[in-house]
Amino acid sequence: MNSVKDTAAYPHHIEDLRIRLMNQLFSLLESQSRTRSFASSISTLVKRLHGKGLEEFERGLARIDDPLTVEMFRNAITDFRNLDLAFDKLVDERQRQWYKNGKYLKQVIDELTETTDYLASILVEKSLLERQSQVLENIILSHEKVSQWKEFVQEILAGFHKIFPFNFFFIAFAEEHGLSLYFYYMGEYKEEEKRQVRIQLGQKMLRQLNLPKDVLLDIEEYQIPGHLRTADLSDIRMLTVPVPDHAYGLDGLLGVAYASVNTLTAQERTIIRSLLSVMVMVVGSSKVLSRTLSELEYYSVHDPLTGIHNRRYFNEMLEYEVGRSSRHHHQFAVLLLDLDDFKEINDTYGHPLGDEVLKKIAESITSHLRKGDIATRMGGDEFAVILPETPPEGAKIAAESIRANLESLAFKSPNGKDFHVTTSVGIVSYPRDMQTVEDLMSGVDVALYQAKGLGKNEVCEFDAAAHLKQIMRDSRSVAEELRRALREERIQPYFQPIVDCKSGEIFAYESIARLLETDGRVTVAGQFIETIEKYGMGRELDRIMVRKVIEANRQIIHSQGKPKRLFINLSAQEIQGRGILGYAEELCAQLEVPPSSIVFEILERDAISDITHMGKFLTNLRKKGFAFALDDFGSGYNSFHYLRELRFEYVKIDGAFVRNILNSKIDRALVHNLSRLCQELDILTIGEFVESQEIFDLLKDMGINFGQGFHIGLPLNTL
Amino acid sequence: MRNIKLFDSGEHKFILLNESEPGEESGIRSNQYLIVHEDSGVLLDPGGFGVMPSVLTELLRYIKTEQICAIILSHQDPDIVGGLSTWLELTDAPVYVSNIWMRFLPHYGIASMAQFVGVPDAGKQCTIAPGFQLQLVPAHFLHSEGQINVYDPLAKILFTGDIGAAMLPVDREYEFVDDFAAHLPFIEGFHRRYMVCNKAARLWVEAVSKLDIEILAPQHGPIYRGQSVPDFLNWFKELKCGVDLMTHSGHFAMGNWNE
Repeated sequence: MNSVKDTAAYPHHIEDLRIRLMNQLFSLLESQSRTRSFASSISTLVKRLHGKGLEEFERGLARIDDPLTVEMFRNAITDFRNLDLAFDKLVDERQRQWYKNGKYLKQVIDELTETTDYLASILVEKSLLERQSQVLENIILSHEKVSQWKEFVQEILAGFHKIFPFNFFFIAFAEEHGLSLYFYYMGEYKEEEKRQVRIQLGQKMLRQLNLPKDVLLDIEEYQIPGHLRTADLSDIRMLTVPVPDHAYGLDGLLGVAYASVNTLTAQERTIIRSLLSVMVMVVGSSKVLSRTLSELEYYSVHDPLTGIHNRRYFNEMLEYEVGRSSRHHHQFAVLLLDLDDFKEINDTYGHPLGDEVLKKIAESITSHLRKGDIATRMGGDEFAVILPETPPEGAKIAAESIRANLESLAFKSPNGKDFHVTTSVGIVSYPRDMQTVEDLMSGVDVALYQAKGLGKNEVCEFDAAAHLKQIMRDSRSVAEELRRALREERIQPYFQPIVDCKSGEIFAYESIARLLETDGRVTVAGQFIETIEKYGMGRELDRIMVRKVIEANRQIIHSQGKPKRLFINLSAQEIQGRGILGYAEELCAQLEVPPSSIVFEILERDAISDITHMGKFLTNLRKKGFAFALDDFGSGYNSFHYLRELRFEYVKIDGAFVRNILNSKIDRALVHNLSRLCQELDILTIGEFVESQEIFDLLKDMGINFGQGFHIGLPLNTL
Repeated sequence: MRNIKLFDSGEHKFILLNESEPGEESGIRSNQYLIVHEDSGVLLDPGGFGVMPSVLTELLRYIKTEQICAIILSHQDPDIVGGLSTWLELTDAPVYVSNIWMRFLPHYGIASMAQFVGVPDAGKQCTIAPGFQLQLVPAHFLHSEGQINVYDPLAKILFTGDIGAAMLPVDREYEFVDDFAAHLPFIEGFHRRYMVCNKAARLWVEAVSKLDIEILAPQHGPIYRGQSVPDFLNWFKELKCGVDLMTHSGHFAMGNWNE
């Protein structure tokens, strides 16, 4: 017990207990010392008088003549002497007992001190935990907050300060040319006081972070309105949390420090330290995410290769254009371009050259458009153009000019030869051909298909009369066919393995629905899922899948003795209906399949739309033993708060990010940050779309727990 | 007020353990000090019967009972010695007290004098543990005939017993004397009446002036530091008190300081 504890080291209730028990022990000690002193004077008195009495007996004995009386007195004297010896023994024994009692009391006092030390170190006051959650609840990471991360940090600090008052807060970043220190003053301080803080606490923080003190410092200062004022700044306590190894993804964050004149208990220090660790995460992640976000925002509507807009932007603009044109009674047109035999260029000259060609083609298309026309790359070798306020004739001229220009464009092959790329163009006109976004897209598709059919390098307008009926029939018949398939339960779960990134062993399987056509062909979910949702058949599909998957697990228990962990996708409709709760539970009970072997996957967008009900829904199912995975995580931006509200056991990180982590710095940072975030929240992560060993290895390095994808294992119809 | 570290170098500390509240001891508020050097502790003036629990409770924050290496009593008054017999239940450490008070201690309910060490009139040097020495400095007749002070050369603190003691009104409380003139009213009466004579005061000031002192730690009231240390010594050196002020039996020329 060498270490000196601060006065306020104990929480109050333990301190009270300690003082109360100490007082009782002292009462024992005091009463022992009083009794002891009283008893020793009594025994001294007894011994003295007793001795004197005996002496007088002896003297008296000499004067007695009667031998019988002498004999009687002699016997009495012997008894008294024996009594004397017994009394000595009693006194000795009492001394011994007192000594022992004293020793025990001493031990109890020392042990009480050790016990209260121990209690203080392990017990956390409930109120303290509540204060901790109050701070955490205020930390809500959202798109807007992250993009304004400096303001966001101030907001968090103001909330933190309200609950655990402090005077100053510091954040240190490593920059390219030195160090940045951010100073936050809670309340108003005089210039002289600030100078003192900068010099003393700034240096102290550098020391505690193990940084050289003569480094180039860039200081930013912020004043946050607060009430804590103090007369004596010399007695400031500082808690510093360093970032261990300049952790990847925290954008140079070196550490944060909390400085207060208030005395903190050991527990408060522990809680504040844990909050500081969260601050490290939030500040670091916010900073890196704010940068990533602005890039992401750009790339959410732009094609990274050609720099022109992408499909998403096209979809938005098309919708906008339909609405605008219908209000203003304008005409407009959509061109869809598909390069002829572009695959051969990639195959012959390789992707890098193919990419160069695509870039030049994008340039060529945009250079022949008017201001206000929208050129987009839809993906691969497909481009689309919206021509606002353009009649069909104008659209045809523009399309022809784009086609002709592309045809005349010459590219150099690696062996120095010139080659050319041609394009087929489909045109659809609003409102002449079609009036809705979906119809316009189907129409332009048909027109493009027709242009290809005409022998490529052609421009073709949508021909309503020839195709309208066919399209409608197709779409309706697909739905009909699906309905029949569901009725006949021609849905088969396929199981794709999910492996543990560390051990490489199979951890679970995701069940994926496939459709068995009447002719024996198997259709993958991607081809029918949209129609299923569109025509409201999702609930039926889910029920069939839930049942077949639980049945499959029954079989596994039967043949292998224990169940496998199986993931099942739930559609938005099923979540709204909630009927799945009773159904899955009943099935599990009936088939004796433990609910703990089932994990439901819920799409992020579905989960967000109805957070309150979703919370209850998940809680109810979780009570039964089921677990949950948040699917396509990362496709939108969420918050700690949100993830806390809806506790998920697993998070599946959107495959669109995972797939690109080798090439895209942005996706890599994103996946890594999501991984860190989930680790912090104790949620297991699964990376989807693991298409190569390199991706798998990188995921593993980032701390992702599980992986899934073609590289790891294809979906199979058996377990 | 509890636990003020007057000096702390990590391995060596000089702590004001517990300034007992007047309620705890229905007498004068008193200061108990603990000097800790590594694993060894020395307790100065443990206090009367009532304050022992809180003193020990504070002490245990720093050391265990078995690490108490010595108890030093500045003089024989009950506010210092009252709780001693219970302390002796807890520790076998030697207890230092002036030679002239040894024979009176059994009256405090102390059965055995085996643990007691008499301090000669001229004081003595005490080695508590390797590297841990305390100097017992004579301070006779101020006010007790056999008073001893304790000087800690590592902390540069002189524990002065009753010298410098203040009687603060109940509504006034401060830990350190930084303004001696403002503090003077609370010490003057006590020193004039309880200190025996100017000669004793002067000789003491001359002796302790040879020590390198940063803090004067009295047994009652606030602690002297900085400029208030020489201010107090200069004032005390000239103070007429006790027998100096006696006019005839039972009468003192106290000026405004009649109690």
